[in-house]
Amino acid sequence: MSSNKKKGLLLLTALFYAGMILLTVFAEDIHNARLPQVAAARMIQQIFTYERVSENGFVIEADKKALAIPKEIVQESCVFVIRTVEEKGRTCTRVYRVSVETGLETEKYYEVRSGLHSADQIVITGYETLSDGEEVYVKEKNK
Amino acid sequence: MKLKWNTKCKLCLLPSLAGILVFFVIPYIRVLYYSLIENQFSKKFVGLKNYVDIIQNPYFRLAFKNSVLLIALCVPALILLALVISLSFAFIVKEIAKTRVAFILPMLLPTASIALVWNAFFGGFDNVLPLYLLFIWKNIGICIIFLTAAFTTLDESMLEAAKLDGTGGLRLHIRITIPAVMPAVLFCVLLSIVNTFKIFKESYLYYGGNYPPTYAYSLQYYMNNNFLKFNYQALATSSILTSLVVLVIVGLGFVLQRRYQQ
Amino acid sequence: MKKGIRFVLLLLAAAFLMPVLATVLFSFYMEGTVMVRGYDELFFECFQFYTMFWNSVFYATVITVFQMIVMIPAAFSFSFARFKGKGVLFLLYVILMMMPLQVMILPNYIGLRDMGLLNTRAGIILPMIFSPFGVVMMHQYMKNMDDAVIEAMRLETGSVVRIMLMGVIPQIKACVYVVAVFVFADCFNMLEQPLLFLQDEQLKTLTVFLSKTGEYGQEVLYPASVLFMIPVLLLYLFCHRELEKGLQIYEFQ
Repeated sequence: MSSNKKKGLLLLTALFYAGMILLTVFAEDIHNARLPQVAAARMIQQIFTYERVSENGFVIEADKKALAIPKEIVQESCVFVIRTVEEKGRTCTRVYRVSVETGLETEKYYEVRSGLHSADQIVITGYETLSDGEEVYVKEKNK
Repeated sequence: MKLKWNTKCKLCLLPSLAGILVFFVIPYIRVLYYSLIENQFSKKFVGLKNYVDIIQNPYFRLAFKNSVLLIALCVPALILLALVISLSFAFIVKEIAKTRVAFILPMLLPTASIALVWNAFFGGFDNVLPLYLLFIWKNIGICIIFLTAAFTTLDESMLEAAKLDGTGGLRLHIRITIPAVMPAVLFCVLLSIVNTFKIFKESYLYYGGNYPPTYAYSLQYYMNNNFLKFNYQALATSSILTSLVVLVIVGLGFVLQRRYQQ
Repeated sequence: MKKGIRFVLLLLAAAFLMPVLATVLFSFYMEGTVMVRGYDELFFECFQFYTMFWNSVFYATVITVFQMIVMIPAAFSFSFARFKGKGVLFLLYVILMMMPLQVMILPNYIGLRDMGLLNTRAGIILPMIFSPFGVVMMHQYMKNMDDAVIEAMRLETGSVVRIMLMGVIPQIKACVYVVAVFVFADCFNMLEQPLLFLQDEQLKTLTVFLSKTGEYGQEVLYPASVLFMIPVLLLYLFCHRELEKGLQIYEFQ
C-alpha cells in the first residue's frame, strides 16, 4: 500500500475519532438547543379577594390565599406542566397539557381550583407553540 | 545480578503464566470442585452424582443434541466450501486474490451488527438454517486463508518429480497433494469445531434472548441460563463436560496430525 | 472455464459482502423513505451510545496493547528457553485457547468475584490480557525465524529486552499485526463478559447496547451497527497488507 494511501487512511481514522469526540462532547448541547426553549416556575400563593355574606347578613370582602397562575399562560383552560420522565436510559423533560379549573381572579392571576398540584412546575414562557408530550429545554428559572 | 540467558528467557514467560494460572487454571479447578459437591451451602462431596443428573436432564440433552448437530452438519459443509473456493483461488484464478478480503471481513466484523441484518433477511425462516448460514459466512474466511496458503505452498518440485516417475492423475493427488494439505485441513476442521461453540454470541443476538426456539437451544444457552439462575452445580458440571468433549476433539486432532507429519 | 469460475467467485464474494452493505443501506432507509433520522436520533438523543462506544474502544485498545506486552515475551520464551515440561505447558496453552468461552465463564466469574473485580473495568480487561491465543500464534511464527540474527545479537548484548525489541520484533512484524488485529476485533466484539460481569451502565460496551433491541428504539440500531463496524474496518484497512503477508507465511502446527 503506497504511503499516500496509508496517510489517507490515517487521516480518515483521525477524522472519524475526532468526529466522535466532538459529538460526544457537544451532542447534549446541540440536542438542547434544538428543543423548544421554555421558562418554568413554581406556582405561588396569591391573595384573592372575594365577597361573602357575614354572620350579620352583610356583604363583606374577604381574603383567601390560593394557588395562582398568571392569566396569560392559560389557553383554552389549559396550561403546560413540566414533568421529568426516564426513557431510553436518560432523563427527559417533557410538557403536558393539563386542564385547570379556575376560580377567582386578580388583575394578573387566576386562582387554581383544581387540575394542578402545589408542587407542579408550569410553563410561563414559550408555551405558544408547544404540543402535548413534547420534549423541552427549561431555561434557568428566574422567579 | 547477572542471570544466565536461559533463565532470562524463562522469566519472560512469567507474566503470561501467572495470568493464565490466576484467571484460567485455578478457576477451572474450582469449577471442577463445584461440579463434585452438592450445592454451595452444604459443600457435601457427592462425586459424580451431578454428572449423572445432568445427563438425564432433558434440557441438557436437547442442548447437547443441537450442539452436536451443529458440528456434524456445519463443519463438513464449511470445509467443503472452503476447499472449493481455495482450490479456485490457488489454481484457477490466481489473479483476483483481492476478493479474498470479501471472505475475511465477516470474521472481523462485529457480530451485533450482523445479527440485525440477518434478522431482516432471514427472519421468516422457522428453522435453524439461518444460524448455520451465519456460521459458514462468518468462519469461512480463515479456512480459505489457511487452505489457500496450503495449496499455494505445495511443493511444485515434488509434483514434478512424481509426474516424471509416471504416476498420473488421481494417484498423483492421493499420494502427494492430499497428505501435503492434510495438516491445514485438519487445523481448519479443529478450528471450525471450536468456532461452533463461539457462535453462541451470534445466536443469542439473532434469536434475541435467553430462550431461543427449540432447534437453536445449544449447550451455551443451557450454561448461560444456569448461570443467570445461579444454578452453579449444573453450570459447573456442564462446563466440565463440555471442556472434556473439546479436550477429546483437540486430542484427536493432535493424534491425526502426528500421523500425517512426514 | 476460467472466466466462468471467476464470475462465480466474484458473485460469491459479492454475496458475502451483502450483509455489510445491507447494514449500511438500512441505516439510511427506514419506513420507505431515505432519511438520516436514525443517525439524528442516535447522535442527539441516545447519549449512552457515546459512553458505550468509547468503552468498547477503550477496552479493545488497552487489551490489545497489554496483550502484546505480556504475550511477546511469553512466545519468545517458548521459542528460545529450554526447560523441562515446555511441551506440556505449551499444550496447556493450546488447549486453553481452544476452550469455548462458555466453559470459562463460570471460572472467570467466580475468580473475579473473589478478587472483588466484578463490575469494574479491570475485571473485563485482566482476563482478556492473558488469553493464550496470541502466545500460541506468535510461537508458531517465531519457530520459523532466523536464529542467526538472535545469536549474533546475543554476542553483543545480554539484555533480553533489547534482543526482543531489536532482533525479534522486526522479523515478526507481520505476525504482530495479524494478532493485534484479531485481538482487537475479538475484544471489540465481546458480548458475554460485559453482559454478565458488569452492572453499571457507565462501564458497558457497544455490543451490549446493540443487544438491547427494545430499549433504545428501532431506528437507532442500524446506524449504531454501522458506527460499530467502522473502527474495526479502519484498523483492518490500515493493516491489510501486513495481514496478508503475515497470514501467508503461516505454517500451522
